Amino acid sequence: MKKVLRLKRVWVLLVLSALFSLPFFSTLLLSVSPDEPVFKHLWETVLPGYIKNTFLLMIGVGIGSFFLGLVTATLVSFFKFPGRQLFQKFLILPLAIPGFVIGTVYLQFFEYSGPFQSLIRKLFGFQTASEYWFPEIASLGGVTVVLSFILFPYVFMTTRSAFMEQSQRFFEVSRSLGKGPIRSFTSVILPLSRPSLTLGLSLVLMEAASDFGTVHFFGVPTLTSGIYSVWLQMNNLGGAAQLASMLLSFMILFITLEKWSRSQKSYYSLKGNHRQMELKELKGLKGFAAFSLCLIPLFFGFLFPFSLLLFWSFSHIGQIEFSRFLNDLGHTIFLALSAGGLCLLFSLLFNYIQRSLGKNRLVEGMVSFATLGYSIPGPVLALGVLIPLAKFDNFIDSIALSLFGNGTGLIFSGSVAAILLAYLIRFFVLSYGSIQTGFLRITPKMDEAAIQLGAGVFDRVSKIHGPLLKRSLATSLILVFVDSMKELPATLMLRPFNYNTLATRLYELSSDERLMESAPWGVAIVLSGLLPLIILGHPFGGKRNNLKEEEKES
Amino acid sequence: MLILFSLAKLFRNCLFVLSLFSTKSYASKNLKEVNLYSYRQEFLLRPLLKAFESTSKIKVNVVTMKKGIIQRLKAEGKNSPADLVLTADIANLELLSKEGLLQKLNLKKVEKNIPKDFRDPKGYWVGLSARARIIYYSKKRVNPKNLGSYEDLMSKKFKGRICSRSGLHPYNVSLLSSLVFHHGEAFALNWAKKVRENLARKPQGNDRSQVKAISEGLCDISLGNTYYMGKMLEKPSQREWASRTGIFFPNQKTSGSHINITGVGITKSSRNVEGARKLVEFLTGSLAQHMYGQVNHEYPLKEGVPVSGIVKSFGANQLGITNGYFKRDLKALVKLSELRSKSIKLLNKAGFE
Repeated sequence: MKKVLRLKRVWVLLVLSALFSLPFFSTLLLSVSPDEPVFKHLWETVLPGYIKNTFLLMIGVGIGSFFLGLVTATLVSFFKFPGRQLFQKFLILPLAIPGFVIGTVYLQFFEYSGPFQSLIRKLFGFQTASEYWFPEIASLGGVTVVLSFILFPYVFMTTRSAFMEQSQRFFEVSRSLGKGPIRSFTSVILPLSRPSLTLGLSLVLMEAASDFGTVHFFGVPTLTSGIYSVWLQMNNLGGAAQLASMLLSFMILFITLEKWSRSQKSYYSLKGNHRQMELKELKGLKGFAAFSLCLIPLFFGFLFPFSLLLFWSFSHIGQIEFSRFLNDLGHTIFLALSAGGLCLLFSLLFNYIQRSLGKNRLVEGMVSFATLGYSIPGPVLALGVLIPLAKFDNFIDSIALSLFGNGTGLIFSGSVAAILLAYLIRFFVLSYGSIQTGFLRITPKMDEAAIQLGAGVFDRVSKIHGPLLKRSLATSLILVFVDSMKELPATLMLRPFNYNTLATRLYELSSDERLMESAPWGVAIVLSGLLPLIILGHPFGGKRNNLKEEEKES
Repeated sequence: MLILFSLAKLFRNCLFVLSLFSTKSYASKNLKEVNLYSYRQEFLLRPLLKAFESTSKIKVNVVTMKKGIIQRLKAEGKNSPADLVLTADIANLELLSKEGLLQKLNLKKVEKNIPKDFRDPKGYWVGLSARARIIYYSKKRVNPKNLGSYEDLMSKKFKGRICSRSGLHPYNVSLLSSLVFHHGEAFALNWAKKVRENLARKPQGNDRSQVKAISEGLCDISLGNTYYMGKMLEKPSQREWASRTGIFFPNQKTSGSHINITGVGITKSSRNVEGARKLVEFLTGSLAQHMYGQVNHEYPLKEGVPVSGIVKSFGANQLGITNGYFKRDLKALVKLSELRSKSIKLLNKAGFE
């Protein structure tokens, strides 16, 4: 009986993974039969450049975000300095602004004709570009810096929550064994936080590799841009799919390497042993240094671009058609909420089944496929959803037609369901990852103990898992919600008639050099991205109080 | 048997309920609506469609996508809800018809409205408006007498003085295709290489950004579409850039300036052909054509419909240009579609990203 149940669960996982890797497999399938062989041409001309740029971008943004995320997370987790409370809440804000908006803001600000260089020219009396040196902002270097400031919060968030889980005792034991504070940090705390750090970093890398908008604005052609030009301009879907498969195989290689490197270890945090980390106080100059180190990424990733948006909004507020604006807002919030809920639901299901099956190669393989969606460039994802979905719809239609003489038309494609499926596939990993790290907090021993004490499934879920997972659930919802609000390429291609979201409208206006008129939409995206933070509470806010509450509840 | 029967019934009911949500319900049941997929942005279209809706009492539902319409139509197949497709480029019109996604228009009114040069010889699509890809130049630093042709841009005298958006943008691909048509691949490749070497900065931004760069003194000339200049001159925040920049129509003594057109076709899957035809007729009619001229600053294709005042002023000091009208490169126009893929490959070879 137990075996049958087990098998059933494996089947559920299999079906879901297949659904989630739909775009991946349809891409693979398409790449086998290009309309016209184009790979050789690409390889001899632009492809090496695309690959180089993609790699350099991933490495650069990876290092940049890792550094920014780790430094800020370490500072707010282990030290006390002016502004710490605010920083631990606000350092995740850069995630709320769509990348292409920050990109355009920076380009406009720092380019030759932008206010910054104009000021320099005025100050020093330069007349032309040749009289002084200024780094080219529309470059690989420029986009690397900007993306790092946008994406570091992923590393910050995951690392911060890992640090919060760690007990003072590990640190003390390490110190008492004669290791200095820095050695203790690098040899005890960091290795223990590795799963979370890696999760954050891989989100950053996937996002950097699949980014289209920002790199496009900066004129840096990557594999993603190659996919665009081959597919949409040369009208060679197969050729584009070959490039997409290439990008995906990089991702799979990277994920496999990472999995392999920690395959021998199991990570569980030991909550029972928990004692809050004591914060070391940084005074004077040191405190100021810590403050600045946190302020810089927050300033460049959020405060500066957001204030500009806000400023432009006020000067263009009169031009908004409010009914349109509310309509867009409604669509956006509906999509983001539904996506958040769906992702949460499926992640819980996945994690529970995976947990009940124990360590299992097959299951892990399925999870890797199911979480691939995040690394698929938006337009490829859109197509990977659209083609199979339309096939399915047409199939149903033809059955209905032959059976009852009345077709159904297209049911899912061209409807909101298609967009939601794309979001679900793309953002599943965000939700899955945060819930998985939450489950690491629940050791198998805790379950065993509860079972021995006679607790049923319901009791275990409601009294143990629920409270312990609360923060992970909130994180999952927030991440998916915020990212869905910003999603652009898939929404653009899959949406129904007369359907706009804040992001599509923002894009339409800003791509016409009307960034300033589009600013209110940008501000709306940011503000609604903050909504779940306000409603669900901040994942890092009032930790001590939460703990007390949890203790009281249990 | 009874069970089977009731199962079938249940299944049918399910399908019926599902079909209520389907895209089919958008179109077929309601003949007072037409569905449009558009490559052109909504703000360019809205005024036109509003005018149509109020005169015809037919509502127009729109999805705008700059990319991927053909792929979406192909995937949706015969059940696609779209009745019409509007494109910003002749190459996409040709591609749509080549992929068998359109049906013949057979509209006498349209044939009367739009000259033959801008209609599909096979009858699947019709052009609506035209624009030229011309040279923007700095009024301060460039004497238009020293400008001549697209071919001239290869010259060393323009070293470090040209700005450009991405070479692979459809507008530039289209221009290169015309050079392939007139001079062959080898010449076009060399042209792309030389022009790239003459660039003042890495290709970036859109046509408007180049005007901005010229006005700020970063470069002296750029290639751009005519209507952007009209739009910029109308816009207070961009007027200053545009007013420092002039428009030069190249190749007036030879092949004519490069043009491209926007156009429309009715899909094969259309369920409201009648409504779709009304919209096509409307778009080629006087009112809509007038709006293309006055609102969008494009060149209307219907004969006798005037261009806007701003467009009239284009090339005012250039010999042979009267009221913004110029010699157009009509010969290359019909070849742009088939040369597109080749041109992209040439641009890749030239490293003109």
